[in-house]
Amino acid sequence: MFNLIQADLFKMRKTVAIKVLFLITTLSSLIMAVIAYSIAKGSFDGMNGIGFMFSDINIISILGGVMAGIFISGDFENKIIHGSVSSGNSRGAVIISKAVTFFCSIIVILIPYVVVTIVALNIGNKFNMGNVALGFLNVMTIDYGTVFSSAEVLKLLGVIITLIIVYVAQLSICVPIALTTKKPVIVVGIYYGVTILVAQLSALGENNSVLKNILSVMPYGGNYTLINLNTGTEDIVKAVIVSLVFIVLMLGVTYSLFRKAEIK
Amino acid sequence: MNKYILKTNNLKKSYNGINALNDVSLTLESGKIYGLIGQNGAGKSTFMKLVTGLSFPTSGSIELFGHVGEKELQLERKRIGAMIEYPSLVSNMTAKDNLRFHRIMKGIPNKEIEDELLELVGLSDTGKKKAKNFSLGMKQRLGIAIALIGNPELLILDEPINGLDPLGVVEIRNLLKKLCEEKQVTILISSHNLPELYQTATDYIIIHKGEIKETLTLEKLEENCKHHILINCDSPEKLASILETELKTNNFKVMPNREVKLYDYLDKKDLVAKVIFENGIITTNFSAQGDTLENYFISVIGGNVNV
Repeated sequence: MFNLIQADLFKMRKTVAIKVLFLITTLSSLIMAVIAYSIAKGSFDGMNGIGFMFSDINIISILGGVMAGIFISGDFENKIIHGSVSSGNSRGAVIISKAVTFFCSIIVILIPYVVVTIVALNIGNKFNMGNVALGFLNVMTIDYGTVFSSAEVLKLLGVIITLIIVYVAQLSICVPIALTTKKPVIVVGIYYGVTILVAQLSALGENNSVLKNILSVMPYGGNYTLINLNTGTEDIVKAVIVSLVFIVLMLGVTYSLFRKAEIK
Repeated sequence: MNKYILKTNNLKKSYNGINALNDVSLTLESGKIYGLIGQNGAGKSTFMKLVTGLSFPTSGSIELFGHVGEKELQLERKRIGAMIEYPSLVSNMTAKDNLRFHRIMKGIPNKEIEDELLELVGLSDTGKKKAKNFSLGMKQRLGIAIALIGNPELLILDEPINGLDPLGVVEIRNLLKKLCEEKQVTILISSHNLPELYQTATDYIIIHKGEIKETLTLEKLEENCKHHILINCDSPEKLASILETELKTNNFKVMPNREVKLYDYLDKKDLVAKVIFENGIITTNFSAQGDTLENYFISVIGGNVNV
C-alpha cells in the first residue's frame, strides 16, 4: 500500500492538473481577500456574492470534484488501477492509496487559502464578506485584528487543521462516486449537486430539528465550516471526530462497492 | 518445484447469464510461450482478466504458481507482468517517468532498470516526449516494458503487437523468445495475427465462444498444417516398404491409426497412385491434406473453410 501511495504522489507531482488547480486557488484566494478587504472599507458594497464565488468553500466544492475525477476516475481511463490490481495489490490498498492521494491534493490546493488567511490575520486590517463567509474566509472576517500569543498561534493551527479535515471529509464522498462512475465529468457534476443539496438542507434544518441532528453528524452540517478562534475546544474536537468517522464510512462504502467489482 | 505456472479448473465466467468463458481447464508450464488464438469476443481478454484479478470467475478455480485462494492469488500476482487490451500509461508523463511510476508502485528500488527496459524495447531515445504523443506502436512497446518491471515469471500480453511496424514486430518477437529461452519466463500472448503467433509461440490454445477448442504444441500444429498425401490402405507396412524402395523416399509417417502421411510427391500424385496400384495395395482413401494456419484455425473452431 505504501508503494501505491508513493507512486500516486509521484504521479500527482508530475501532472499539470495539480499545478493548474493550485494556480487557480492561489488567484482565487487573493481575489477573495481583496474583495473582503474592499467590502470592509466600504468600497465594494454588495459584492458579497462575487466574493463568495472565490471563497474556499465554493472553489473546493468545484475543484474537489475535478480532483477526484482526475486522480481516481482518470486512473480507470488510463488503466492505472488495472495495473495496480494485476500486479498483486488488494482492492482495499488501491482504495486507500487513491483516497490518500486525493486528500493530499485537497490539502495542496487549500494551501493558498491557509497562507492568505494567516497573512490577513497578521496585517491587522479588517475583512468582511457579510453572512456568506464560511471556512477560511470566515476565520479571516471574524478573527481579524487578533493579537497572537503562542496560545493563539496554537489555536489558529488547530482551527486550520480542523477546517482542512472538515473539507477532506466533505469531499470523501467523491471517492465512492469516482470509483463507481469512473467518469470525471460525472463526479464533478454529482459532487456539485451534493453541495447545493446540502446547502438547501442546512437552510431547512434551521427549522427542522430532525434534519439538523442528521446533518450535525455529517461534515456538511453542525456549523463545522464556521469554526474560528472563538470556537470552543469541544466543538473543534466534535468537528474532527464527525469528519474522521465520515471519512472511514465513505471508505467503507467504497470498499463494499469496489471489492468484487469488475475492472473493465 | 511446481510444474505448472498457471492451472485453471472448469473456469466459467458469465455476464447476465451469457457465458463469456465456459469450462476452461488449462495448464501453462514454465518456460513456454503460449499463443491464445481466438476471434473477437472469443474470451481471450476475459480469461486474462480472470487470471490477473481484474475480474472474478462465476465458478471454477485458478491456481497460480501452485497457490489457490483469493489472498494467495493476490500475492502470487506480484510474480506476473501484464498488459491487457491497452498499456497502463499516464499520458502526460515521459516513457521514463511512466516506468518510474510503475517501478515505485511495484516496490522495485533498482532505478537502473528504467534505462535498461527503455533500451530493451527501443524507446531510449524518446527523451522528454510525453506518452500522449507516442504512436500506437510506441505505446505498446512502453506497455511491454512496464509489464517487464520486476522480472515477472509469467508475462500476460493481450494483443501486444497491435500497431507495431514490421521491424517492431520482429524486435518484440525476438525479445519474447529471448525472455523465454534465457530467463525461463512463461508467456501467454494473444493475437489476431496468426502468422506472427506461429513464429513466436511454442504452444497454442485455440479458444472459440468461451470454450477451449484445442491445445497443441508447435510441432503438432506444423504436423497438422503440413501438406501431405493421406493414404488409408489394407497394409501400411507394405506401403511403407514400397515408398522406400520404389519411390525412394523416407519423408512419410505411419500414424498410430495406421494412416500414412506422405510429404513428398505432392505434385506427382498420379505416380504414387500408380505404384500403389501396381503393388496390389487396396486403398480406401487417397487425398491431398494440409492447411494454412488460418484454414486450420477455421476448421478447429467449426468454420466451413477447409482443403
